[in-house]
Amino acid sequence: MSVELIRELYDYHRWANRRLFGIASDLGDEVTLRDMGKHWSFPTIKGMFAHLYGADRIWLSRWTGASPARMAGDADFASMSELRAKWDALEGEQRTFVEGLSASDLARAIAFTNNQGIQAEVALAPLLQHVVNHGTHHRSEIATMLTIASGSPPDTGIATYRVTVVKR
Amino acid sequence: MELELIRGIWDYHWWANRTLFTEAAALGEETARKDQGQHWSFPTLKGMLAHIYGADRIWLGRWKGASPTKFYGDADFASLADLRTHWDELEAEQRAFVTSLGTTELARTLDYKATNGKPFAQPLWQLLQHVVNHATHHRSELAAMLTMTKGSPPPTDMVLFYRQPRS
Repeated sequence: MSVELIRELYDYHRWANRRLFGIASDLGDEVTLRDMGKHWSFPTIKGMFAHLYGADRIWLSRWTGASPARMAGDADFASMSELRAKWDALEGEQRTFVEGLSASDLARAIAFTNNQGIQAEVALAPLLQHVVNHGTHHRSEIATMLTIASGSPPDTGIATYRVTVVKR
Repeated sequence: MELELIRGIWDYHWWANRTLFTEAAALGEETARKDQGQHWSFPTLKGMLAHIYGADRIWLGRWKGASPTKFYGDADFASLADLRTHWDELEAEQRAFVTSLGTTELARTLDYKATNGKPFAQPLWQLLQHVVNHATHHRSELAAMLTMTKGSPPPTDMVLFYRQPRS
């Protein structure tokens, strides 16, 4: 069941990311490149999505034995559509990794050096949960930014996902 | 390992809620009641915290077999201090519930009715994840509101929680 729990969390993560990305893209550059202020983790919607991509990417590398020193971000993508293309590729890779995990893989300790040079060791399963939780934090910021720009986007809660999409 | 995964995110949930509650409380009752705008899910720090409490409470009720129709919120608490007292009690009740769960209970299908009377049936483990994820969404709003009020609060990343030494 631990494997199912993680897989379904990632099904949710991909769905919520795509739902918000789709809404944001439809609003065009005027909204996604707009500086919305320094009180956000990243001042633009594009920058926020690029950070989500960057975090998902750096963690996937750590899970597969690397310790990348650099996290991809806003400046690495000329446009939302370029980010989408890279993200599709990453999502495919992440999905293959997550769906290939066994219960014993989940308990495996992952040793990594973060981008401040701090060494840490945490079991894979909590790190997998961390990445989705991290995504939810920034998706919340994106939801508020979209609310300011064009009105409240639809709900991306796990309960909504289960009831309206997976229907189980 | 699934029990450890669920208990782990709940330990995280309690820690992250308290971290942000303490930050908000330190700013005083008046700041916690300040209207920060309609683009937030709830316009005040107190209202946002009261909503996290309300969601946690209604879900715990459902997990224990009830279908509560009242969703607690801002108006039910005179102050952050009042909310804290109620939340301490709720958290203790939640802790007893979560730590008592076995693998069989996690897989159990829970039948409940939403506040509008609509029936749902979902496995308990999904709902246990939902409540933590729901709160992370609103904790993010709290963090941004705190940033606007007095500067960025300490991070509540799950990985930081797992990295810190625990008894």
